[in-house]
Amino acid sequence: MRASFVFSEVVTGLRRNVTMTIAMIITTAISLTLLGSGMLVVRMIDNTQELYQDKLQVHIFLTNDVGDKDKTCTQDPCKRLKAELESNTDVIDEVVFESREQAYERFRRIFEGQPELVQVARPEALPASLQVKLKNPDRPEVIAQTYATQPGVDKVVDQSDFLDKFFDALGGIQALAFVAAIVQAIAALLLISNTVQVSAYTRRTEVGIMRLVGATRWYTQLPFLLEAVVAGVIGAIAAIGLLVGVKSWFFDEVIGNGKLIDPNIISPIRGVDVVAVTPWLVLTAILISAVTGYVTLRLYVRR
Amino acid sequence: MIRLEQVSKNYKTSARPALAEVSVEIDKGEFVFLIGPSGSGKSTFLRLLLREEVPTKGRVYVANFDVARMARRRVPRLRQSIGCVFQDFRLLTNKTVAENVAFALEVIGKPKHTIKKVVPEVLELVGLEGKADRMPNELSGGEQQRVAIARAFVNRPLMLLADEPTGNLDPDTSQDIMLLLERINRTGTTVLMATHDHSIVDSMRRRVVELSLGKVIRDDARGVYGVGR
Repeated sequence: MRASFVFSEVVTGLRRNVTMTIAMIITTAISLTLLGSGMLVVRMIDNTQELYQDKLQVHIFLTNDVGDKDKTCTQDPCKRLKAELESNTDVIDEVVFESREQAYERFRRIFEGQPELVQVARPEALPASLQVKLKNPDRPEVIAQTYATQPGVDKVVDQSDFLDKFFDALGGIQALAFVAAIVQAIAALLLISNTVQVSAYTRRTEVGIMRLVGATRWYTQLPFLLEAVVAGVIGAIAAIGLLVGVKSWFFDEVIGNGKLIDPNIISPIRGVDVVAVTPWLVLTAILISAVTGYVTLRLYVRR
Repeated sequence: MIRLEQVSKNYKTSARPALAEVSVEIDKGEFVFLIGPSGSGKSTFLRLLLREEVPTKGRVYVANFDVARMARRRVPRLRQSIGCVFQDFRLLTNKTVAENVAFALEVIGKPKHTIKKVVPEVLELVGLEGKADRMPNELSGGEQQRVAIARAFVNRPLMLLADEPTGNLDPDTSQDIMLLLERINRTGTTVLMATHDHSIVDSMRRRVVELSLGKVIRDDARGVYGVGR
């Protein structure tokens, strides 16, 4: 196999068919950008879940009168509740009391990025709570059932409930990105197939001669296949550029990646995440363009 | 060199077979004319040898290849041992004479230094030594056919198939092309030429295989075009 021959055939092919090549690169790039965005959201969810894995707690919020009178949880009913929880060592790992002042401190820390929120908040507006860390974070509803109706308890909040809702919303965005990516991928697929056909047609004389003088299938078809792959890879590189743009503009500026919300609560999308996604985009591009090219040659081009 | 045994070929589009029980044997070094009117099966005959088609029945042998039954991946090897020339030359218009000839070697992976050596040799053989850098459209029809013959012969095939090679040429030029094919035949290359050209067949006095409606109706060792009808 003479690499220089195949290479020069690929370059001529792409140049001869330049409008189609550009269309192919653009659709591939958009499709892969959407795919990449979806993958970034997946990583964001994963990172956030990891963040919470051993921190997920059930908060038992105490009624206002308990929170006002008992700042240290040394009186009933707070004391009784705490003791009861702590005795249940099979299920519960740790119980921590958080007073209204401590809650306010934590609130200020979380919403540092939004001073206007911190300004309107008062310690009195935040309830005192018992923060229960479970041994097995899979079954937080047991605590809710047992303690929601006890005296001194206002309500029981399961953090995983809130996270589930948040992840559902993210999952929706992600599903949308994936569906759009698939639609674009179909367009890209058809364009690749068409480009390969046009390319093979414009070079039918060459291919005819090649076949006649006994060139192997690699020589006659590899240039077309590589054309598709080269265009696919260029599309992937463009997609990576777009994805960096999406990260720094959409996630960083609009959603306020890690600024609006404490990065310890919802994991931001980091540069590392973009880097981790890129090889998959390139691989997808190579795989899709090569397979489409191969199938097209099989179906439409005589050998 | 070539052996067809009871070969039939049916196309889906026609009830009449393109070839019906054809048996022909051609020895190494022979020069054979394949004649007959359009639709008599000449093209199918040539296509079977190149494995562009597979016979419906019968066996086809070319050199050591069992053409009808060989694996698809070995077909390039078969074609590398056969040179082909056509009525319409089939040159690449965007390549020079030398590049057209070199192309046939490049695409079968011959090394550059070999190509550099053999291309001028074969151009000299066909009488185009001064025209290596010309483009095909700058050449006469006869010269273009010489380029095509050079391309077909540059890999020193065992046999040369020529499908109406003089169909587009005037009688004088045709005569030159025939002399060239004879010269190639004298190097030991088997030549099989399909043609309509009476005068060429009559003047050459070579073996003639005549096809009509897919059957061999004549096989003369030293034939002329019209005799026997």
